[in-house]
Amino acid sequence: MVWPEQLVEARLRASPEAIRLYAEITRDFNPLHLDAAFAAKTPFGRPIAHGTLSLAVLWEAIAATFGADAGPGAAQIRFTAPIAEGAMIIASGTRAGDYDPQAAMMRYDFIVTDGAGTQALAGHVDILRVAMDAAS
Amino acid sequence: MNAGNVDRAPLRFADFTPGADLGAARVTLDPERFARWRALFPAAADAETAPPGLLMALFMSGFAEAFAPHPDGNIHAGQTLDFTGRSLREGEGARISVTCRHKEERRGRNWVHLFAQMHDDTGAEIMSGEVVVIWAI
Repeated sequence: MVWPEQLVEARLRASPEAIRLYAEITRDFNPLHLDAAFAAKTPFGRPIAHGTLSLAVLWEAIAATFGADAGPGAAQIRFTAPIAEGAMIIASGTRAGDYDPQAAMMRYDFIVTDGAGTQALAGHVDILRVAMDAAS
Repeated sequence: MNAGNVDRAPLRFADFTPGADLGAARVTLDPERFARWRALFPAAADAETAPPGLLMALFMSGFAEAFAPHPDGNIHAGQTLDFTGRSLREGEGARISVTCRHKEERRGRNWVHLFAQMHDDTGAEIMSGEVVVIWAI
C-alpha cells in the first residue's frame, strides 16, 4: 500500500431522500434538516444536510482510496458552512505528512465542499495502516 | 441535532455543568439501519461490519438520545474523533456515554463542548470524540 498525495474524491447528492435516510439512521429529526417551512425561518433559509452526513462522504473517500488496507484514526473537524438540500457533497484530501512509504500513519488535510465550491467542512484525519496480522 | 423525548422541556444552555455526566444511551446496528446505510452508500453493499461513517451515525444517534431532549435549531459546529479500529456487526449493540467538558458564551452564542465515548458490549472502546454544539436556547 502506498500513501497517495490525494484521496480519491467522493461525492453524494444531498437529496431530500438522502437527508431523510440519514435522519432515520441517526434518529436526528431536527426540522432544520427535514422541514422546509421551519428551515425557511432560520438564517439558512432552506433545509441543510446533517453535518455528519457531509462528513460521511469523507469516510467514503478514505475507503475508496485505501480499501481495507487503512482506515481513519484521529480526526479534527470544523463545520464551517452548511450544505443545502439538493447540493452535491464533495470530499477530497491531500497528504499533509512527509511521504514515507513505510509509515504506519499518515495525516491528510481534507475539505468537504458543495458543488459551488463553498467549503462546508475542513480539518485533518490521521489514516492508520491496518496491520497485516489484523487484516488476515 | 435533536432527539424526540417530548415529555420534558428541552435542555437549556444554563442546564449544563462542566464536568457533569449527562447520560448514556444504547444503540443497536439493526438490519434496518444497515440497509439504509447501504442505500445511501452502495459501496458498503458487501460490508460485514459497520464502516466508519455508519459508526459515526450510531455515535451521533446515541449522543442525541443520551441527554434528550435537545432544542430545535442547535448547530453542530465542530468535532474531534478517535476511532480505535473496532467496529460492529449487524445485530450488535453499543453504549454511548456523554459528559460536559466545557461551556462558554462567545460572540452572543452559547458554545457547549461535550465528550462522548462509544463502547461495545464487551466494554471495548469503539470510538470517542468531542462534539462542539452552538446551543439554541
